[in-house]
Amino acid sequence: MRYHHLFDPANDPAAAPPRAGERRGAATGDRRDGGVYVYTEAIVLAINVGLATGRPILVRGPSGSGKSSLARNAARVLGWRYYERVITSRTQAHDLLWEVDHLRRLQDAQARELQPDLVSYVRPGVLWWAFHRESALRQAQIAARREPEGGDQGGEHHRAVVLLDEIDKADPDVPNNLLVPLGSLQFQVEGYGEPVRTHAAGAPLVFLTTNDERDLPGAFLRRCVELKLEAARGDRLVEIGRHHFPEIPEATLQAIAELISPPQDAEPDAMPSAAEYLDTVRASASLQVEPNSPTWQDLLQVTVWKHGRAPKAR
Amino acid sequence: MTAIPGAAGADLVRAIHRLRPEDDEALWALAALLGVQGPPPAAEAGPLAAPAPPPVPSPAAPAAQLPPQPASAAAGEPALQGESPLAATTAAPPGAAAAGEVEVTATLTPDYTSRPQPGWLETIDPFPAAPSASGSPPLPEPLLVPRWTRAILGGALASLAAHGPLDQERLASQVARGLPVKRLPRRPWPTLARGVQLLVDRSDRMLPFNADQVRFVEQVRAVAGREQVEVLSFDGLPEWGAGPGARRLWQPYQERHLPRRGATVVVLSDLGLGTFPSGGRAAGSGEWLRFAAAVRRAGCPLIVFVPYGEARWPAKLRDGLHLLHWDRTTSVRSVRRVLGKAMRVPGEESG
Repeated sequence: MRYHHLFDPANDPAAAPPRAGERRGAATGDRRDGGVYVYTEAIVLAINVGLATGRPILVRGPSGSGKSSLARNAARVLGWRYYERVITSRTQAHDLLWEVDHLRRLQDAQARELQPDLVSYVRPGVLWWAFHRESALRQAQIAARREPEGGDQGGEHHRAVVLLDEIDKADPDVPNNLLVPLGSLQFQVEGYGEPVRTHAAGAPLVFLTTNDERDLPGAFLRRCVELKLEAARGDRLVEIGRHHFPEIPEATLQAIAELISPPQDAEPDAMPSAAEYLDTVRASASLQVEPNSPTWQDLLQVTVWKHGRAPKAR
Repeated sequence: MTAIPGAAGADLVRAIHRLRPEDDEALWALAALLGVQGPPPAAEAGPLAAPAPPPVPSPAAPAAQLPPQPASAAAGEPALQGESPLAATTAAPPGAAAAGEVEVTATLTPDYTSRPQPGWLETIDPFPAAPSASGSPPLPEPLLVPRWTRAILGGALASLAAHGPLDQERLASQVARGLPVKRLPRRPWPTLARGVQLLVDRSDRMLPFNADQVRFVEQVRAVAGREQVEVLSFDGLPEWGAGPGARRLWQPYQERHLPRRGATVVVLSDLGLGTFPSGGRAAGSGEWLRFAAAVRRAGCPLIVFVPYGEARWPAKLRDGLHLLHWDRTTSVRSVRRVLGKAMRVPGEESG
């Protein structure tokens, strides 16, 4: 597939496979440090199309398939700032733009230090930071808040990557309510004279992830670039392991991938995810438990064969 | 000819202009990401519905053909100026190509589906579906208007929770009376976060609606979230026996069957109004009202979708239950008329 790449992880030294002896992937759990990401052609194309069109990228895929870590790594590759917000069932679209710090306002009122205008208590949300960092910094200073973690990534680049994680957890109206600020690249803050706005050349690259817990509105889907990540299996798992753990012998990575592979006809939920594979490799290396050693099965029971999953009959 | 939905057309032009695909594979892959599906059969002339094929620069002389790229784009930053891509719906005007630029042309097939339909279209019956080749009867038309279903269910299943903006009046009143503020009072806000329990009437009277029930369950799961929906079956009245599995395992619906406080209980039943040769026993209005009272005592809003019209609903039930006609005449407006903005959780403060 040949085209002009606006985004190319191969050009980023930080994304290159680590040298032998260089250890990456020391973090555990849902790795969001964005240190390592093994791209496929489809992922790179989706990001390029997102950049070329300004559409948000909706990432689907099973748990542990790398949905959340993709955004942070893309920010690293691009050298852009990075902000994230995990969506919950209580999140409203408004919370992603700005919020009022009612608690501080109440405290100030009780201490007779109440500021006359509401603006003093407005906290910028992730999209404000991504749209216009300068005004967000000013506002954060007024509201005695700090910039969210990741905002200083990429120096002070004028553009940002935003991850809105697990958008399907939100109430059905939320995705549609995001269409206006994401489409018009501006929104109004209560008590603020000018709207917070950016322009196409400064627009953030927005990643949204979904576990397909609930369907997203059609109008919203039509405006997204959709990227489906499959559960990694076999060679792909080994490739991911190789990038994360260059110091671990290839044969070990392959053996672990083979030992945790489920039956061919297994349901998607029965497949260990790439994250679980990495945790198994990490635990195996850290605890010095060799594949097929007496403790090996116990290790797999706690890392892979959970929730009624079963290994392939041998 | 490939149909390109309007909004996708402009973005497709942008993507082709910025990414300059050099082979069909790249072209169709990026088109698919924008919702333009499938390459044409080999017999067709061009890769797109465009009269002029998209510019695929020749590898031999790309530099002379390509539009000048801003410096930032070369560094991996798109630098489109002007209107936001998401808001744009039209392609670049034809004939705008200047020296050194490539004109990108695409034909947009009008998107008739997004235009308002004439009023008369709502009142006529469509042609019957063609007989299926497999011999199995076609599925009945959905009871709710498909394009409204999501909004109807979103409105009907939501309950009010104190998730909304700060209730400043209540807070001020609390502070003025010198009461400690243990929780910030918030205004009620409709939410599906507390989950849904679906009670599906499997009595013989509901047999004509069996396919609709299956469809309804899936629709509720899609709107409220699969993990958030519990489905129980019953025959006639939940208190006579209900459960998630086989009928022989059903137990009378009791306290332990009730979902957590605030979850919406949705009943799919004819309330005994239908007739069927082996219809079995139908619950009376008093029994339904007693059941509804028990659900309400548990702090769960209750709504009943009834496949028969309002004229047949018993007056007692009409007054004592939230009833919705499970039918094409039901709209978001009718849901609001019955429920208000959303259902209140019984016994819960408004904020």
